[in-house]
Amino acid sequence: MVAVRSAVHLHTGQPATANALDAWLARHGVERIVFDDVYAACVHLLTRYDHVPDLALVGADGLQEDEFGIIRYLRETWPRVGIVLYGRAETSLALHATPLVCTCLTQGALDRLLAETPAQLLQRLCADAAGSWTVPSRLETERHPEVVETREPPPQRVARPAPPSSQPNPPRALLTAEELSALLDGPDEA
Amino acid sequence: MRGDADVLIVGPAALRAAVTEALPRCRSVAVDSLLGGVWTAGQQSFGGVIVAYMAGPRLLSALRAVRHVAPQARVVVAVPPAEEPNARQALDAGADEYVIEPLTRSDLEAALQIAPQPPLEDDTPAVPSVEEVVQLSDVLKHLGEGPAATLVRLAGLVQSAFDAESVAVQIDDYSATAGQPDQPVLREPIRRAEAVVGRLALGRRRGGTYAADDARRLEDYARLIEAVVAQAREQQHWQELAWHDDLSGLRNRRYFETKLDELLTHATAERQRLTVLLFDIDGFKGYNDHYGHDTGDALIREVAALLTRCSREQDVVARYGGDEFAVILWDAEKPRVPGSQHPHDPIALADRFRDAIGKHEFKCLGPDAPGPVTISGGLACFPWDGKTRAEVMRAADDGLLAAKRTGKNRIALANGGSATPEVPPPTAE
Repeated sequence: MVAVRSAVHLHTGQPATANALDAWLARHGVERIVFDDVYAACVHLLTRYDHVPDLALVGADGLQEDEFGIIRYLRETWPRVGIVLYGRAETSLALHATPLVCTCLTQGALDRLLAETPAQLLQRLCADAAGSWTVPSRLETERHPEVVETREPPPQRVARPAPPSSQPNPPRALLTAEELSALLDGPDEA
Repeated sequence: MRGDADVLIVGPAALRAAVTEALPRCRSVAVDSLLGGVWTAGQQSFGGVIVAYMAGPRLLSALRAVRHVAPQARVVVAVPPAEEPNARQALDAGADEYVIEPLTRSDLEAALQIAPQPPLEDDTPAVPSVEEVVQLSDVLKHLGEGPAATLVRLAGLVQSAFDAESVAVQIDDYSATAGQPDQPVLREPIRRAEAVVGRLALGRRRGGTYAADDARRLEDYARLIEAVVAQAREQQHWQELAWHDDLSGLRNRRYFETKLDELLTHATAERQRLTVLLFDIDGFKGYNDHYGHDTGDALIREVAALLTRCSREQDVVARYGGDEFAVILWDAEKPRVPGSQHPHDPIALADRFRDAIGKHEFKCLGPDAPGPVTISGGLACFPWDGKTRAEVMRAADDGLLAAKRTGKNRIALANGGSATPEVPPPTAE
């Protein structure tokens, strides 16, 4: 069984829903780091990338179209974090199909989520992803598609450190069920 | 920041184009969205980040984030002129500077604190070409035509020097273009001391693109334009003083004679007529003796003001000396045709003016004025009454003397005719 100890929460959705989710996390003893907008969250991703949470909750209703990129940056920074996108906003179908992303875009889906524990949610996400979890290549290996370089790209400023020890291996193209089970049976098990 | 530093551009393609054009040395990375900008700013090291202005809190949040993840970068916001009042919020949120669109190289360099760079090595000669020198000397030769005409010549010089399809230049209240105005490709502010006093813009280059060093050359030309126009303005100032009559505020005799020579040459070439009116104030000595010289001076000033009001824009009005005034009435007639007669419009104008003087209540004379102020004058017309300045002026003077002899308060034609019915002269004495 997986354990969920920490989460980041982007309060970019309906306040009532955000509060309900915060209460849900608190009820299950999950530490939260809350951001009011995607830009503050982005700063956190860039500066505190080694503080890997177990869950990331993102309100969709307050996001502008070009701000949904935060999902991509979350995934790029923390490849194995479970992401919950909630709200009633129209979202890209690609998000629904992204592994380890739970989209709660109806009240029913949200109610079902709140009925689970965070650990159950993460385990469900992992299980859903286990059979077909291919790390999207555009998220992991390609340059950001909207970046247009007019000259040769400048050098990287700093070498990003390897992921922390709880996630020692870099993402691969395919995770087998056995590997996933081994991963889930690791030291994080509740 | 170095002139070839990496710059992150956050905004639409138009901003990207403007920045890369203004800063050709910089390596630039462009991102459409604010979030993408923050992310990219945190991923790579940039000397500068240029962000398109956007109303609302998103920009401010993004600026705060960029400031956090790229503390070493100069953060500059490109602001449309109408949004300048709101640009202060961007500075409060962490931007170092803002620049007003359209962007210029010097504005961006100043905002990004780019250190001056040595000129690029390319095929552009370090000294002006012979053609440029010849054109510039032609501009300098005609400085006396004034700043506006000088600016027109300078626009032509810049167009030729850059092989531009069009050039638009504006400095202070003057503007000029060369070629068909087009969307500017290169722009440069024109500065005086530190203040921007105008702009120089080039359209597309004929059959090609501008070289990287053209922006620097354009900066040189912007300085040249400011210097030459300033010289033209100064020359015009001194010329104005030399041609100005302090008492009446009109042009003086020196100007009148210069202009008459010029217009006679023009009239000869274009087969046009030209009429000179020469007149003085009847009994002016009496006014001086009776009221004093101050009142005499005031009388001259009032007559000058009336004369200016009654004349047309193209007429040349001057104080010829003492209480004598001269007017060149030109362009009032169509080109001469065989058999054409002495022009009538100048006569009408002269009489209208004489009437205006006669009906005017001269405040300087007070309520006890002895009667209306009157004038006597002579009209001479080129080419019938003379073909040179001396001949025309002599003929006009003859007309004036004839008007005096025949009772004053009238305008006499040089050939002995009268434009005005005789009226009794006033008595100031």
